[in-house]
Amino acid sequence: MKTFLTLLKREYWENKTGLQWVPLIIGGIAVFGVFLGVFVFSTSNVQINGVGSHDLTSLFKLYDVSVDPRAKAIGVQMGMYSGIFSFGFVLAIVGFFYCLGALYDDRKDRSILFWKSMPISDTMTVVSKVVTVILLAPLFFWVILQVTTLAIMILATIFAWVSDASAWSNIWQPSNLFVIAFYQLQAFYVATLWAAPIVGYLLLVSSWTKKVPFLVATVPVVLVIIAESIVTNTAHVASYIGERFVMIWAAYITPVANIAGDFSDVIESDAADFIEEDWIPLSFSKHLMDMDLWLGIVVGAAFVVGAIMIRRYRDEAL
Amino acid sequence: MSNIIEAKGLNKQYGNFKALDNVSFELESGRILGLIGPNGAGKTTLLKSLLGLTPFEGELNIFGLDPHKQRDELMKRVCFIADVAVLPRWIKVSQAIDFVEGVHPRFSRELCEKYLEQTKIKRNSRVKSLSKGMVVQLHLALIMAIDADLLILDEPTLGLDILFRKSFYEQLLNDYFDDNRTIIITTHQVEEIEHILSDLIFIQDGKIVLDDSMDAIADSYFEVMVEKEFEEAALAMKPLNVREVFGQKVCLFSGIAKEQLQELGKVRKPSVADLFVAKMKGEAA
Repeated sequence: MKTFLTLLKREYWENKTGLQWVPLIIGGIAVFGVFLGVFVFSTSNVQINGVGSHDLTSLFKLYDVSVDPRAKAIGVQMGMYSGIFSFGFVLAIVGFFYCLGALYDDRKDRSILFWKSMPISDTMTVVSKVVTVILLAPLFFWVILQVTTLAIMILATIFAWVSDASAWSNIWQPSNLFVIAFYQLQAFYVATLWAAPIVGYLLLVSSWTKKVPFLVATVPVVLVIIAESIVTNTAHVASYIGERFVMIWAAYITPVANIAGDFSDVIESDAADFIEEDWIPLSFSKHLMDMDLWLGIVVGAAFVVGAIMIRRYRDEAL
Repeated sequence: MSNIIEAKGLNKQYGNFKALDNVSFELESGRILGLIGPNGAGKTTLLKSLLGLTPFEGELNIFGLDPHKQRDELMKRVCFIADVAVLPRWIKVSQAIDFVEGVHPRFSRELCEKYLEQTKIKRNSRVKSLSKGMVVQLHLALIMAIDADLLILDEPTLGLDILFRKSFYEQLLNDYFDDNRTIIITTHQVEEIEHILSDLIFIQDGKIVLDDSMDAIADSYFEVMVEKEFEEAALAMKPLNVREVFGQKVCLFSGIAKEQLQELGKVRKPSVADLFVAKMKGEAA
């Protein structure tokens, strides 16, 4: 156990940029953007047709007194939840490059000979990398997303005070803070589970390839897709991969459906239509009951076993 | 003393190239073995086999373990420095120490700190900012702080200047080595390590061409500075190798009594390097 925790620490040390600094920068940009919006530009006037010219604080005041509390709540909750989209997108990129480098970089710089001089099994090494990308990376992103959300809410609170409106009734009370945070946590992990076969595939390539893992991972897939379309005039490979991305996307928008469902009384019917499409599971339990999800996990696990075998038994240690 | 390594009929082939050709040897604990051979002779393949990094044919036992199948078990007792600069460049010195402490049950932080105190290495530097010599010092400090039964060093001082090389081996011998430990070293700079070796193996084209203790070698190999008048007599005794120093023939003999050779001229112990050259020439002829 101590060995395994040390291996996870090792992954954190090596990948601090992707796991910590990148999401902190995304969060920082978001907070800074809000800061600019509400404090720097709040004194300038905004032209609105038919209503005339107002500064932001008086507009907020107008919003405060005129908008229905239920509509306010859905706006706040959707806004809070939507922070996950930029984080999820960046997590996918960070995870992609993490997997490609995970079992390749140390072979490239020969430091694998140092790691292999320690009493650590290759299984444990590879599993530590799987755990890092499947469990730790989403957790890091989630925690930093929550910090970002809180920072923005604090800015909004100050803005509400400046506008002479109630921060409690406009921001905190309708925020449903913990539920939204929990939605985000679930969305990160369910999306990651859908990505399992991709994670496994990338780790396998990373363990196997002798050079440029990025090209080795992507080019053959593109070639197979092209070959398949020419030879059999089908697109099974492309549709399998496409389906993964759709389901990852679906995992991220499932809470949107949930929030919308909570507010079905105030949402116009055609706006609610999209959530009734069959292909989007409306709840995380439906995701977890989808056989394709579990098949994907099995495929991902098989790839990981392959990655371990290659690392353990390849003739050349490098 | 019991054998800690027993190798019988090791073979390893890369395509048509025989990297190991029926290699057999044994090693007791408490020895320092020099594994010497030209480039591509099979040294690294042999070490990789010992470390379980490559599959092989034949029988190989280290501490009674099969290095390929029981590698994880073996690595608790065996340490190795593959060559310089394999420490990951991104790691900080303090992290490297934490890491080894976290994964190696036989690592002593105090010992490692003690070794590092003798160097100028700062705890918060990254490996990539250290000089080549400092990286080796760090690696050696980490490895020497592990109470391993067998230490394998593959060209550990390659590319280092003479000061570092000298202190490297001095430290290894004075601070680390004892009767319970065994060390295997490969190097090109034979003359720098011959005084610390207890055993010697020459390997060429995947075959062992010499495998003896240094004591046995000192008893059976002699180098004679042959006096001019005995030159023909000396050549008639079929020396392994003849070279000329200042116009005088220096002949290397094996298996001939020292007393007999003393009649030809001044007898001395051959250096490992000279023995190596003679052996390699002999095998090639």
